[in-house]
Amino acid sequence: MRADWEEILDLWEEKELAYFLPESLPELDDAVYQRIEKRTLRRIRKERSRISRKQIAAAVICLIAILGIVGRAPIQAAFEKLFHYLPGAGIYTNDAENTMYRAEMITDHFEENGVKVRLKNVYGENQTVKFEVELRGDDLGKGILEGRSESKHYELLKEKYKMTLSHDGKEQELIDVEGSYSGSGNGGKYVMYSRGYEVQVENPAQTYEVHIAGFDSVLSFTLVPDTGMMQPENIGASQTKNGITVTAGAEVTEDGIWFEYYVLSDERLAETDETYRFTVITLPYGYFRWNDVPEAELYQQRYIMNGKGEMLYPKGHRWKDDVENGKRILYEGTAEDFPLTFYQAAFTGVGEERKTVKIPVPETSEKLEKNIDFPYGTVTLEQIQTKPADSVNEVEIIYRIQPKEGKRKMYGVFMQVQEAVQKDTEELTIFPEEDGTYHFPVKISPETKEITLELYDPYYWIVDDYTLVLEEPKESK
Amino acid sequence: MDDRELLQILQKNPENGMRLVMKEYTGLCYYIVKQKLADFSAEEIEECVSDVFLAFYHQYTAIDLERGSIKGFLAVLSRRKAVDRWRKLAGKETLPLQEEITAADTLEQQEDRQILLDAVRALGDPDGKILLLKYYFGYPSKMIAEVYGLQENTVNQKIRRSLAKVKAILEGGVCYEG
Repeated sequence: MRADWEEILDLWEEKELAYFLPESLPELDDAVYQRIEKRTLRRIRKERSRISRKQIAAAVICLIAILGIVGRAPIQAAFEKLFHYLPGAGIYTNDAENTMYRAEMITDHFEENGVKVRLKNVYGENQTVKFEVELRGDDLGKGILEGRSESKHYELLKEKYKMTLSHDGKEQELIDVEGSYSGSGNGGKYVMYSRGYEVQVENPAQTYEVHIAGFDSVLSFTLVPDTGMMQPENIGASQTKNGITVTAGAEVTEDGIWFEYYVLSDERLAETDETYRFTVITLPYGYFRWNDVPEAELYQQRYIMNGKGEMLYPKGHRWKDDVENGKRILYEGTAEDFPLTFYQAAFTGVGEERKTVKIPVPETSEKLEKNIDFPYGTVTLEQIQTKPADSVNEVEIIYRIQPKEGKRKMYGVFMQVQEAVQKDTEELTIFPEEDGTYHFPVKISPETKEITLELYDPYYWIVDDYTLVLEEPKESK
Repeated sequence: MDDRELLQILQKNPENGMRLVMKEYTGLCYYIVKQKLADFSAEEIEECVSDVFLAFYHQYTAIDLERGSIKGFLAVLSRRKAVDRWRKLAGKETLPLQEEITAADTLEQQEDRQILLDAVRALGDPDGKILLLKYYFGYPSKMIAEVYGLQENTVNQKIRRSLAKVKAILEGGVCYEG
C-alpha cells in the first residue's frame, strides 16, 4: 500500500468520485473568473480558426473532386442555389432539355432488426441522380469487426451493408462517392453509417429502388417532371428583407419534427459561409431581439417556438443535415406543437475589400489618426504601442470602428501584419474592450521599424431580423 | 440547464457552450486546482484552470452521461491537470495527460483506489464528504462549515479525525470509531 493517500486520490476516476461530488459549487472572485474565461476563449478561438482553415482546404479539394462540373446553365445554378441538397425536392436536368424533375419519396425510411435506415439528400445534377443512405443502430458493426484493425472497419461495414440500385429494369451495384461513420471505434460500436451515391441515368422519370444486404425492406423513390417547387413559399414560409430570403418548412415524423431552413443571399454571409462561420464573431449584444427566450442566443441566434410560446430543442448533433444554404434539424416535438415560429436574428455580411497602410513602429507609444474607409464603416487607427520582450517586440494597434448610416453596419475586420514573426493571432477577429476600442496584438522583430498592416474581409450586421410562422406541417413524404 | 442540454449547446455552438460551462464550473475547477498547486503563484493556478477547460473543449464529446456527469468529468480533469502541472513545476517526470488518463491502472493501483474508497465511505455522512471537500475539491474549511451549517473549528476537528482514520486503514488497520 502506498503511504501517501493523496496520491491514490489523484488516481480516482469519475465512478469513485460520483458520490462525493458537491451539490453546492463554490463562487469565485469575479476578476479571477473573467481572467480565466478570457484566456480560455482566446485559446479556443485560436484553435477554431486554425481548424476551420484546415477544414475549408479539405472541403474545397473534395468539392472540386466530386463536382468538377462546368458550364451550368444560369437557371440551373439559380435552382440549385435553393434545391441543391433539398431532400425530396431534388431536380434533375439534362443538357438537351433542361427539364427539372422532383424526387418523390415512396419509401424513404424503415426500421428492421433494430436498425433505422433513411434515404436522404436525393437530387439530380446534370445526368446523375444523387442520394445518400444512412443507417443508425446500437452496434452496426456487430459480428464483423471484432479483432479487426480499425483501418478496415469502413470497408467491412461497406461489405456488410452492400447496396444495389434497381431502375429501368436494371440492377447495379452502387459505388459510393463518399461515406462516413460515427461511434466508438474503440469497442467497434458504430451507431451511424452513411454512404452517398451518384448514378448516371438516361431516362430519369422512373422508379428507383435501393436494396441493402441483410434487409428485406427496400428504399424507393421516383423522379417526376415538375416545376411546382420553384417558389420558396412552397417549402413552407418565406420572408425577404434587404435582399436576403429566409425560407423554412417542417415535417412531422415518428422521430420528431424535421425542420429545414434555407438562406438565399447574393452577399457573403458568415452564417452560411464555411470560411467565416467560425472565424467571424457574432457579438452577443448585437442586433438580436431576446423575446422571452434567453437560451436562443446559444442556438446561433435563431430558434423555434411552438404554439404555446415554448422553445423547441434539437434532438442532438447526429440528427442534423448540413445542406447547402441551410440546415435540416430534428427537433423534439409533434404535430401538437404547431403553429411553429422560426426566429432568425440579423445576419452578418462579410465584404471582400482589402486595404493596406504603413505604420512606423515607435519606441514605446504613438498616437495615430488614420482613417480607413470601408463601404459600411470607417476604421480609425488610434494608437500603436511597443513593448520589448524576449527577442521580439510586442506591438499593439488600438483602433475603433464607426459604422455608417444604413441597414448595414460594420463592426469588425480581419487584420494581418506582413512583417509579423508569429502569425497565429492574425487570423483572429477580436472582441472590443468596454470603451469600444479594439486591440490587435502582433509580434515583430526588434529590427522592424515600419509595419504593413492589411485590413481585409470587413464584416457588418445587416440590421433586420426574420420571423416566420409555419401554420402546419408539410405533408409527410 | 441540465447536462444533456449543455452538451447539445456545446455541439451546436461550442463557444457559447463553453461560456456556460465556465460560468457554472470555474469555481469548482479553481478550488480543485488550487488545492494541489497551493505552493505556486495565482497565475499558475489560473493558467492550469484554463488548461482544464481547453482539455474539456477537446474532450467533451467523449462524455457519456449514462456513466457520469459534466461536473464529475471536470473534477477529474482538474485534478489530473493540476497533478500534471505540479509535477512540471516541481521538476518531476510526468506523462502526457492523455496518456496518463488512458493508461491502464496496475492491479495494485486499482486495489489502492478501492481500499481508499471503502475507507472514505466507512467514515459515513457527512464526514467522508467533508474530507473529500477539503482534500479533493479544495474547499476552505469556512466554506465547508457554511455548506453543512457547522462551526469552522468543528469542521477542522472532523477533518483531522477522519484523516487519521483513513490513514490508519490504509496502513493496515481495519477498525475505526463509528
